[in-house]
Order: sequence, then C-alpha cells, then structure tokens
Amino acid sequence: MKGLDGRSKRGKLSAVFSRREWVPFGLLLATLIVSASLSESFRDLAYLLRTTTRYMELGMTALTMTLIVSAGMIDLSVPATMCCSATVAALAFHAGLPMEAAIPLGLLTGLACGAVNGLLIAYLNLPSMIVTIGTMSVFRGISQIFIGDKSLGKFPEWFNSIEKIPVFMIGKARFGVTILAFILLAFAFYLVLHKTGFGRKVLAVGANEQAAIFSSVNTRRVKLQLFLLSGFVSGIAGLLTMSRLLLVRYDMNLNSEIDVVAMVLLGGAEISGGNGSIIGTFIAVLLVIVLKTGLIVANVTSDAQMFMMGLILLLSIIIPNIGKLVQGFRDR
Amino acid sequence: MKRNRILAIALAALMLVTCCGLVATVSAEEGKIKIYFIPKNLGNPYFEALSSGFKDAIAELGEDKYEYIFTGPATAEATSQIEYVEAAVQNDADAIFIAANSNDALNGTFDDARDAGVPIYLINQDIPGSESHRDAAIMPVDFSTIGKAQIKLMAEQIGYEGEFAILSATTDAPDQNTWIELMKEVLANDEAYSKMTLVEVVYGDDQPEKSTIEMEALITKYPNLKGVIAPTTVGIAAACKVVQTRGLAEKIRVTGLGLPSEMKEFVMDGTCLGFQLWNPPYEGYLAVYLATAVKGGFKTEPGATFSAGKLGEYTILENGQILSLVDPMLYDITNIEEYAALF
Repeated sequence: MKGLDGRSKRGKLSAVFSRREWVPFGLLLATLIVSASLSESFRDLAYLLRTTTRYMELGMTALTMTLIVSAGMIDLSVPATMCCSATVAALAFHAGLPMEAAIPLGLLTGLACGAVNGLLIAYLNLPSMIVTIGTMSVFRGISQIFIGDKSLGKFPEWFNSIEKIPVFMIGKARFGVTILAFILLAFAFYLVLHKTGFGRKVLAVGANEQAAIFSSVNTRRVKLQLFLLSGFVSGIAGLLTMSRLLLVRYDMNLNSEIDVVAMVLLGGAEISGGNGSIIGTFIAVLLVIVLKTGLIVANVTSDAQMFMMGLILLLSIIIPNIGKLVQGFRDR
Repeated sequence: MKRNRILAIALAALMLVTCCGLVATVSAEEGKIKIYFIPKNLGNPYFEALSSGFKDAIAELGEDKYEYIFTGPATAEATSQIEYVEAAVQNDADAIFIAANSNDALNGTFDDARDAGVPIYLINQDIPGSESHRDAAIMPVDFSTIGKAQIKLMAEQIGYEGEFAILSATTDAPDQNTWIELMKEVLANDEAYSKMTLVEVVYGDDQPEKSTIEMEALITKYPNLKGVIAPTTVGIAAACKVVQTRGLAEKIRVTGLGLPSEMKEFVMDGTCLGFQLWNPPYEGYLAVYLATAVKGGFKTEPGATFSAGKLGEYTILENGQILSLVDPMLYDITNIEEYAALF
C-alpha cells in the first residue's frame, strides 16, 4: 500500500526512502574505490571536476526528471529540449540580436517545449512516454532543419566557457558555475519534493491519480507545471552546454535521455511513480560521473563501459529487492 | 533525521575524493612514449586497420619504448570524443591522434589539451576551418590526384578507348564532385585519353538499391558501354554485383574506390581487375614515427621533414598536412587477400 498522503505514513515512507538511497550510495563508494585503484590519474579532484561538467548539465535535468518520474510519468524529450533551446538562442544571436536577448529567448524556448509536452499529456490525457518520444524528434528536428549538419558558434567571449569561471577553488580543483548551479538546484529540488505541498501533490499523483483527484488535487495543473519546470531547467542546461562547447549542433547530447533516466532510476525513484528521492538522484549523478570518468581514464573500452553501466543499473534494482526474491523462492 | 545523515555522508564522500585529489601524484612511466589514437567510434574495421599500422611501427621500434592506447566512444557523435581527449591529457599522453567527428566541436578541448602541452594530430582527415586548433594532420592521400589516377586506371582496363560512365554518390557529395571535375579536366586536356568518352554521370546516393538501379539503367541505355568508374565504396560494390550477376565482366569493366573486404569476391572472380583506395595502416605507421620525432625535439612546422621507417621521408606541407600517400594505392589480385583481412 502506498500512502496517499506522505504525512500520514511519514515514518514508514522515510524508512523506505533511506533504505533505497543506501544502494546508490554503496555503489558510489564501491566504484570510487575501484576507479581510484584502477588509475592514478583518477585520484585528482581537479580533473574530475573539469571533465564531468557534461554530467552536471544532465544532472540538472535528472532533478526535474525525478519529480516527473515520482508523478508516474517520464520525459524523454529532455536532451532534445536542451538542443532546441540552444539552437533558438544561437539562431537569434546570429540573426543580429545581442546575446543578452538571445539567452532569455533560449529559456523561453525551453518553457515552450515543456508547455507542448505538458498540454498534450495533462489536458489530452496522452501517455507521457509516447508524447515525449514524439516531441523528442520534433524538437531535435527543429534544430536539424535550421542548422543542418553544421555548427553555430562564434558567441561573445563572456558567454563562452561559463563553466570555467571559478566560484571557489580547493587547491587546483575548480568549483565552477555549472557544478555549483547543479548543487544549489539539487538543494532547491530537495526542498520542493520533500518539504512543500507541491512535492506532496506530485507524489500523490504518482501514487494514485484517481485518489489524488478525489482529494481535490488539480492533477492536470500539477502535470503541466512539472513539464514546464522540466522544459525550463532543460533550457538552462542547454545554454550551459552551448557555452561549454562554444557552439550548437543538432546532435548535441544525442541519446543522452538514457543517461538521465538511468540517473533517476539509480537514485531509487520508482518508474511506476509515487516514490522518488532527490538525494538518491544526487548520489546517482555522482555515481554515473565516477563510473564514466573512472572507466574512461583507466582506458576501458566503450563497449565494456556500456556493460558496466547496465550492470550497475541492474544491481541498483536487484539489491533492494533481494529480500522479496528470497521470500519468493521460499514460498514456492 | 536519517536523510540528513545521508546528506552528511554524501558530503563526506565528496571530501574523501578531495583528499585523494590532494595526495595524487602524477607519474608517467619513465621514458615511455605514450600515444593515444581516438577513432570516430569503436567497432569500425576501418579504424582497426588504421590501428594495426600503429602496432606495426611500435613492433619495429621496440615494444618496451611505447605505450599505445586505442580508445574512443561507442557512437560517432560530434561531441562524444571530448571526454576521451580529456582523459588522454589527464593520463599524460605524449601525442593524441584523433579522427574527429566534427570540424569544430572539439576546438575548445583541443586548445585545453595543447595548453597542457599535449600535441593534437588529426589522422585520416583534417578539420577544415579549424586548422589553428591542431598541430598537424595526417592525410590518407593527396586527394587532388584521385581524379587523374582513376581515369588512368579506367584507361588501362579498357585499352584507352571507348565509352564509359561514372556512378557517383549523392549529387552534392563534395569529395566525389571535386574528383569528377578533375576527371573531366584530365579527359579534356590529356591527349592519351582522346579516344575515351564520358557518356553520363549518374548518382546512386550511396545506397545499394539505388546504385544497382542506376547501374542497370546505364547498361540498357548505352549498349557500347565499356567501363564504369564508381568513386564511392557503396557504388563500386553495387556496380560489380550487377556485372557479376549478368556475366558482363569481359564487356564492362568496373573500377573506382572500394573497400578491400567488400571487393574481395569481385577481384577474386575477375569481375573487377583492380580498384584504388588509400592505405589506412600507413597512416598509423607514420603517426608513430611522427610522435617519436616530436618527442625527440622535432617541430611540426611547414617544410620540416622527418623519416618514417620503411615509408621514407615525409614533409609537413604549408597547411600543416602530411600526405601518407601521394597517389592512391592499387588493390588487385596480388594484394586483395592481405588487405581484405584488415578492412
């Protein structure tokens, strides 16, 4: 039984949450130890922070994705929205607009993408997976139509490499804008999901939509708000990616939706909804970072990397269910 | 409360990494030259053939003096190679050879690598428009000779006279269009080919089905057709298949640019007398010699020359390119089996 209202079953729920988060955390520690022992080059925080900005950008969208999955939905159009927002900003800049005006336009595009998803899903009652598979191609298609197989770059100096601006340094390790933005965003989303009425509504929609409607939750509005949020955060992430790459291409973050979904599921969110943890997702983002960079810097080939990634994902689902598995065998 | 504890532990983990970072010492194995080759994507036999060239040169120069790492992304996406370049720099590479997936998406990454003292060499291609972001580029062949070489090969196969056609890729394929222009120029200006007529240029769009249809149409349309040049790997294989199925090998000669592994059956049964391409292993071979020379103080400046073992001397051109071959190489019955096993 899932609690309709988080408050009434708080004790039990939080116990479940904490147990789920131990899994990615354990895996994180294990991969940290393995990666550090595999390669000396890995034991360098400056390098880790430098090379993982890409995953921090995806990590931001994993935070909104956690909310969407908690509400029993999914948004596969996130990387395409990132790409589309960046494309519009770059096109606007090349059409003669100053970068200061192109940036809000890019963010608005993100919101618009989210609005399309949200309206189709919330008000036409269409399944989120189908809708976002469709919009994924549409958003990326917009970029492909306008840019083709070329790159749009040559942005003003101040816009380029925002992630390299150090907010503070520990030795040689640079905590740049993107990394801190991710951490701050994670903190904000933790409060949103676990401490606000909106967060409780999100979990209620995911746990039992009918029950949520009867408890006078405006589920449609909640869904629309979630996708608007997802679009907006994707817009921010897309512009950060554009600043890091110094250019926009139609294949920016192609196929990254798998990474984002993996981060959310590794973090312990239930794909059927009603359950999700921002702390879990945060740890899972670190886990993916450690895993990817650890394997790449140890010169492990990309096919073996995919295998490891899949294995970790499976483990994260199997470990919390070992109890059930054993029970199942006993009952037979 | 419990959640707070988890947060604290997560932070502790971050700090643990920090500590590891502070004690990290950079150590390179003394004296070894560390060479990275990052292909467009892994699992591509063409790049494995190229990689075999690296290994040949290393075997020749001494296995104990080199550390060679062949690694890259699973998909040939524009930005997927960034992490691999960064990892190579972190691992103190002496040279990075890369077949870039984009002409400009890696510029920032290349700049960072070069700032850290790691030279970046493009291999099998250049990055037009972004040449200032790399140290040099090893090219498969002098592409401007391909038109001339292809016409000469066709002429030899049809006895310097008769009608022939060209089966190209898409109508706007830049490489093929340049080569076809060069072919037309050679035909118009060189007396030796005065008895040869180019009847038509058709486009198979690099699709096997479309190429097959275009080839069959050519045969029907021109009863006196003696030869077809297909300067694209998909086109030449499709054209050979048509000629093989119809038993027209004696009447219509097909040549062009092909992959040995795809062309082996047609060369072995006489459908194709010979075709051309560059030689990927040569590029890897000379890459090792270049990295070795640079480690020994050689500067990659225009006009500078270095020696690459059995392949001889190479000069760095004005545009920073190194041509591993001047004319494309001929693949025929004498060497097809050796190379078909590679790529």
